[in-house]
Parts: sequence; C-alpha cells; structure tokens
Amino acid sequence: MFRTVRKLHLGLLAVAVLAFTAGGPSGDRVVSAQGRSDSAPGRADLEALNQRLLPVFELAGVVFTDADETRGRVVVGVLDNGIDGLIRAAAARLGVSAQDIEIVETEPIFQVATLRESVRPVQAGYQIRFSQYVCSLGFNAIRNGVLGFVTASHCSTQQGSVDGTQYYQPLNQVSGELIGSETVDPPYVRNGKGCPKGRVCRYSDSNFVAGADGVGFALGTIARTTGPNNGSLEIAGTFNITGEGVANSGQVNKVGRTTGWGQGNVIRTCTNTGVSGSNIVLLCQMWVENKNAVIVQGGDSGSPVFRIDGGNNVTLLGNLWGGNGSGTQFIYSPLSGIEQELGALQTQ
Amino acid sequence: MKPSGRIAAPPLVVTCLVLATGAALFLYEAHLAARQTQNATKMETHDDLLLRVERAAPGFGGMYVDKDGRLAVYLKDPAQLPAARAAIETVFGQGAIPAGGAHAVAGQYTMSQLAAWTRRAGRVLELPAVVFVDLDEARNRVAVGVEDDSRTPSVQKMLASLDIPRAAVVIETTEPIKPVARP
Repeated sequence: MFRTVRKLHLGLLAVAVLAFTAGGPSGDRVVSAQGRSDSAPGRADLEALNQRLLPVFELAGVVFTDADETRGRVVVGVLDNGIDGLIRAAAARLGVSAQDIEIVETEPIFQVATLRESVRPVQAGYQIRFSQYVCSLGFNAIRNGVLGFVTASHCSTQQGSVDGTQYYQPLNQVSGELIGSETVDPPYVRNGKGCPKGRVCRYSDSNFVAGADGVGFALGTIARTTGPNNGSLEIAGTFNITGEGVANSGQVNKVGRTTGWGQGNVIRTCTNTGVSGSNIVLLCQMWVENKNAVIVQGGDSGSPVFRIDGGNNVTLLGNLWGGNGSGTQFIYSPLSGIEQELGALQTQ
Repeated sequence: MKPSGRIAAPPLVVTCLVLATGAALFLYEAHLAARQTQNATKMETHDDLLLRVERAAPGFGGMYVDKDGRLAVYLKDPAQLPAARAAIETVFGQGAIPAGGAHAVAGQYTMSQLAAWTRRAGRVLELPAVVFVDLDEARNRVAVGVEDDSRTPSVQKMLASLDIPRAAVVIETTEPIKPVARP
C-alpha cells in the first residue's frame, strides 16, 4: 500500500469501496444446488427482508445484500466468512431468520475512476487544471519540508516565473478542487553554458507546486491504468516508486491524462532540444519512441516517466513535457536536471 | 498630524528610494535564480559518464545494445575492449553489460571528439527549424535533427564554419517537438 500524507488534517485514507445493495453484483457468488422451495418467500417478501437487513452494512466486511429470488433468500456478500456469526446475529436482531439468508464470500468492489476524475489522495498521472489548460501531475514530492508535486514548467501561467499559479484536480476552478499553488519555477536563462545565441535555456521543463492545506498526496505512487498503450484512462491500481534513476536505453513508461499509460524505448539521451514555436532550448533531454502506438498527446505534459523494475515497482526517471505531432515520440526531463533546478526532492 | 522628530523626506525622494530598493531586490533575486539554473551545468550528464569511460579506455567512442542483445562498444583499437568493459561496469554499474556480453565495433571518433563537436554544434539551434543536437553514442556521430530537408544546407554551412568534420555529423529530418499542455 502507498504512504499517504495529508497536510494539516491527518486522517484515515478513505477506502473507495462501494457496497452494493439490492441488485448486487452478478459475479463471485457461491453456486448453490439449492433451488427455491415452496415455502420460500416471494419476491416482495424477499425485498422487504432485504430492506430490513440494510443495517448489516454497519458491520465491517459486508459487500452487498441481494434479494435473490432464484435462491429464495437474501444473499449477503462478505469479504471473509469469519463474520458469518456476526451477520446471523445481526439478522436475528433485525427479525430475519437464519434460513432466509445465505452468506457468500466475495471480493471487494472498488469504485471505478479515471485519471480525469476527482480522486484523493492525489497521485502522479492525474489530470490537473491551471488557468485555461489541463496537464498531468508529474509526481508528488517533499521539497524543503513542503509537501506538493512537480509538473511541467510550461503548465503554469508564466513559464519560468513564480506566479502562484493555482492548480485544481481534476478540472473545476473551485476551492473544493484546489490542490496547490506554484512556488518554484526558475527562469529560462540566456547566454548560459551550452545555450545557443538568441535562445533561453534550462535543464528541465519542471516546476514545484506546494500542496494546498487539507489535500492528501500519496507519496511514491503513480496511478496505473489497465495496460500499456491501450488508451485506457481507467485507474486499475498503482505503481510504487522504489527508487530514482536514469534510463539510457530500453523501455520506459509514462502515465498521463490524455493517452494513459504509454510505453516506448529510449532513442536519444542527453539531447539539446529546441521547443517548437518558442525561443527555448531544453538541454540534455531524453527522447522516447514507440512507432506503433500513440504515447503522447496534448494534456500529457507533466506526466511521470518511469522504468518498471518488476511487478508494480518502478524507478522514477523524470517528467514528460513534449512530443511530436504524430504522438509516437515523447520527450522528458531527467530527474537529475529537475533536482538541479528545483532543489532536492523526496519522492517516496 | 503631529510631526515626528525625524526630518520628513520629500515625497519624490522617498518614492525613488523605494523603487530603487525594489529594483535592487528584484535584480538580486533574479541573479540568484539565474545562478541556480546555471549551476545545473555542473551536473554529470550521460555524456559526461561516457567521457569517464573513455578516460579509462582510450579510443572509446560510444556504445549501444545491438539486435542480438549484446553491447556493441565503439573503439578505435579493439584491444581496448577489456578495459572498456571494466570502465563501463565501474561507471554505469554491474548490470550495464547485458547477459549477452560485449563486443568491439570499429569507431571513427572518440567520445571526447564527439563531445567537443556536439558542444560547438549546439549553435545550429540558433537556426530556425533545427529540432535537436545530440551526441549520438549509438552511431559514433553527432546527430542534428531538422524539420525538413530544405534546412540542411544552412546547417551544413554553419557546421563547416564551426570546423566540425562533415563526416562526423548525421543530419536527419524529424518532426518538431511541441509542449503538450491542452487547452
């Protein structure tokens, strides 16, 4: 499980488990050979029993109740059969006899959310909004004792300037969705070492955003969608950041609000890259390509870039800021460049 | 209003002082921020690490993993392969050599030559429609990306003026790179 940090209001992580009531899930049921007996209650009676049983949801581990007319009973889904006795005792207190209920073990039901919906605690890869644009949250971090997150510098009102840009997750510019304000965004520098004449340069397209009070940030986690290069935005789990590093070759990944989980191979390392339509040159950037998939599109700026080490364990590599028009190449700033410009960051 | 014991400064002088102090503070902060950014030039890049390999294995000119999963190491002298292997493991870690092993391939240029030319070639980014300049260690060349072929002559001209051997540079067309925020 990930480590959750909540600013000011320390509290329990809300577990997104939705319990079903009538008309519960069709899967995970214990197949029973018992048919409906002549003395079994009818549909209306079953529904009444089902309503009477609603208070059993006060017991931890109850997933659903279902007036199951094919069985002639109210089926109660639980995470663990160990609470069987508690359920039956509660049912008896509610006036429902033991023979009118059947208890089955089932898996928890999680709320299905996407990268573009409001999800707390905030994780890397979610959609964020500033001004009139949307981008992706790069990664959560603690900088100089301040909890917040990193995203792309150009995902702020004034790129290369601390302007207090306010960020919302996922979309609406209302106080309930405010998640932070920009506090670090170094200037793009003219005439620095390696910077071409007439251009301004930096080593990363990144900024730091101090988290808003009361907002939970999951340090060391990146939202995981259903699979690489399938375009899905549905959150299916998390990647756990177990280290920071560099990838000079091989496969790397990103998760962003537009194209989801994208995967490609490093094709260029430490490449001075001109940003189209601007006088900016980003020094020593990393290029990633997948000729067979769209791995970047507008809105993916800021996305965390990482290498999968095994299972859901990943090494954080940097943040994405650009791509080509066909979406087959994305460019990211390596963590070394980000930390040189923003200062040391604790990312897990 | 009761006058204070201090001599009241004329309003214009006070205004000037406030503005001057504000400007000085602004310039100082800008200077600090610029220094912070310029300090980034001190970080050790991937290219710096490759240069460290060359110091231990003279004639080293880059490397890449070939289609057989082996590490192909550019060397002017293949006899330097054991030294290069050892240096690669020292600089990049024990896992840097794939299980398939490493083999030497003939390199024409050393890392230090390519690094010097890449630094100089950075000036071509002053030209319009130049997308990138890269020390391409996988090709033992300096790579320059341009948005279309029509840009190649101006790039070649500048490279010549910078005294960079034409044969050491690969110029290729590539799509422009754009930031990907979304309205």
